[in-house]
Amino acid sequence: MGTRRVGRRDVLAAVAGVAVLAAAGCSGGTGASGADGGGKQVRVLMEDISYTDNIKSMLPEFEKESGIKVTIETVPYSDMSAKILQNFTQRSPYYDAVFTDNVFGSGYFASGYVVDLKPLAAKDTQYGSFDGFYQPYIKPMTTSEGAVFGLPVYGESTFLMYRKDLFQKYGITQVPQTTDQLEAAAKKISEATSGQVAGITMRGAPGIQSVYPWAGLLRSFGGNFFDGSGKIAINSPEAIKATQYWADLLRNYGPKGAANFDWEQNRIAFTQGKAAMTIDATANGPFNEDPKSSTVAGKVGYAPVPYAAGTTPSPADNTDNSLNVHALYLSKFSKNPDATYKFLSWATGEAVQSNAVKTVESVGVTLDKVLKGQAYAARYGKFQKAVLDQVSTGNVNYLPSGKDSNKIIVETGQALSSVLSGQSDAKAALDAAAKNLDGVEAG
Amino acid sequence: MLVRRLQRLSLAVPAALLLLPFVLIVTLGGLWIALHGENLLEPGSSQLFVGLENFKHAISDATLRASIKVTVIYVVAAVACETILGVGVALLMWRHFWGKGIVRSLVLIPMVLTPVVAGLTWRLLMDPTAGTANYLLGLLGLGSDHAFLADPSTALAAVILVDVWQNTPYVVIIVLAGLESLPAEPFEAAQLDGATGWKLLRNVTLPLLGPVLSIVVLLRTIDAVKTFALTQTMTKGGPGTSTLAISNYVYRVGFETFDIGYSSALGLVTSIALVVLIFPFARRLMTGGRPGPARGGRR
Repeated sequence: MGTRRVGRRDVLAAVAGVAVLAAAGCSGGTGASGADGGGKQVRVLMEDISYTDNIKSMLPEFEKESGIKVTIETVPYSDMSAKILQNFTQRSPYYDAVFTDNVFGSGYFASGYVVDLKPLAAKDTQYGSFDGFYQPYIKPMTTSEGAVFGLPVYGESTFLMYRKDLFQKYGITQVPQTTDQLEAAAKKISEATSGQVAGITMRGAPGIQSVYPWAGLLRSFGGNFFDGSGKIAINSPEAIKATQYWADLLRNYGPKGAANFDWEQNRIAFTQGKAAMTIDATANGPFNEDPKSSTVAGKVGYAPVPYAAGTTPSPADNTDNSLNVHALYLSKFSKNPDATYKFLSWATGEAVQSNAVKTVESVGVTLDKVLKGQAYAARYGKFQKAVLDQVSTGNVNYLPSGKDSNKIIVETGQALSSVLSGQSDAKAALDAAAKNLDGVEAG
Repeated sequence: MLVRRLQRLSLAVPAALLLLPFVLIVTLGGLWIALHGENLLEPGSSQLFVGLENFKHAISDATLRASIKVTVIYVVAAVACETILGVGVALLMWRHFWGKGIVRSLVLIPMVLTPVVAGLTWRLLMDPTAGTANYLLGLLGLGSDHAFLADPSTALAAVILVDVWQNTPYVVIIVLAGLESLPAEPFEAAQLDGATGWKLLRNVTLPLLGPVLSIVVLLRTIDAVKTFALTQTMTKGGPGTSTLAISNYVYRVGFETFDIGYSSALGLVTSIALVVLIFPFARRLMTGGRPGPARGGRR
């Protein structure tokens, strides 16, 4: 009994000793980090998406090569902004870099939360330079003063997707180029199938879901979120017309329940053959053409978003297709900017993007060389041209950006939902939204 | 008299010492934020004093008014249905029958689910193209493409239905426990006087159940006013504002537009309104009409 008691005490003493030694060892470890990035730690908050999966799978190579330890945390895009802002407003060095789209990224830069990458890029060209990116993708990350505040991971635009087989079957010879033709095509198919196949489907759920595709029609009718002097203009006559058109189109020829459709439900309605057309992101292309999950693979055509008759498209400032770029940004509060930049440039570099094209869903890769390479053409040939065309004419101000962007999107989305559900007419709903946004200016 | 009152009050000191700091810190913290124009996207805005601006905005905010209306309809309809149904089911179960234990456990299942799971499950059931609800209605010849959650005339009713489905078991369990603890004598006496069926229920059972029912209604009301997860997962407050409960609106302002100042003002106003409305109701329910030992003895 006695010996056992002594033994137990010994064990306790030994455990305590080991703990003390381990603690000492840990502190020694962090103190001895190398100056060349070796031994440094980088923590990145990333979107839960295929591009991130690819980066994660290749991370051991990078860690071995650079000696930098990288921790990646992921959250879905919809929860991203709340989490990032919490980190930034606390001035926390916890995340060295974050991953989100240009709508928020430009706001973070304007607010001074993320840094200009140019000085870092000048020092470190191991994994490439800004010149390697497809120009339309790096441009939204560049300010008029020449600062570059993000490295693009993936991007997208919007386009019209239509069922070539149904168009042929019901004698629609011309792919809709105007909003009138779009409505006529939707009407024809909806009526010919007695509503079994909806003429067109689009996202109708409140918020960014409906605002994103709707903004294309807003611009088709010559509208914009702001007027020439930067004041809010979502109740302009053009915006009211566009909203009425959008709501009528979906109510008359859309699928039941479109008022609650988010991106996924809309995509499923189209890939399951329940609708003849949809206007949505270029990222939908691969889903349409995947024979395992889509019943319409090989039957889909791709075209630009139609303009309203009489509205002249002006590609320079008001195109009706989006340009949305998701990029990595370096936090101002990071304690390791050099090591973090090395990781960012690797994660957007050629080896990583080429591997993405080989292994994961990656239609939006951002390097010129990869986008125009053979592997990409072999995989996405069916819509490669449409994607590149739409991206190169895409409107980076398609959605409002800057500090009030969320407010504008939420208020407009609320108005759209009220109109689509018939609770309110377009003028009243947009007037109410404009009133709530009184004083908001282009950011 | 004064001394006795002070003595009595002194008994509350330890509890007050423990509770007050928490209540005070939270409330004053909330008030501080509500008086400032903090927007997470604007660095330094947390120091921007805006006075009563946020509260003034709340008074003229049409979306807030719409959300109050939705919440009131939600609370009245859901709590009424749950109470009536719950008491009905509890009365049916208030007897010995084979398998009562199993039935009692099965009844609890909806209550055990988190509202997010319940909301998503029902959203799938009510889907206009693939939902079971539409399939069953189709079999009955009532049409099979109802978009219940996308139509403002049915969306709120659909969400309330799920709240009733989920929370009626709570009423059943509490009322059943109440019924089983009732003394047998009043019933025997009433039966001797010839009361049966509806008369027995109305004049004996329900009055005796009074205290239990009041607590159930009070707790369900407080819970229903706070509803968030069901509406958020089923409709995100849409279409339009047809299912936008107050909590959904406060969340939207705070975590989608990041207007923390206004969101706090809304939260504060709602909490105070709730306390003012519920407190007298709660006091009456908790103290009045209860045959407590002292008063019961005098009656």
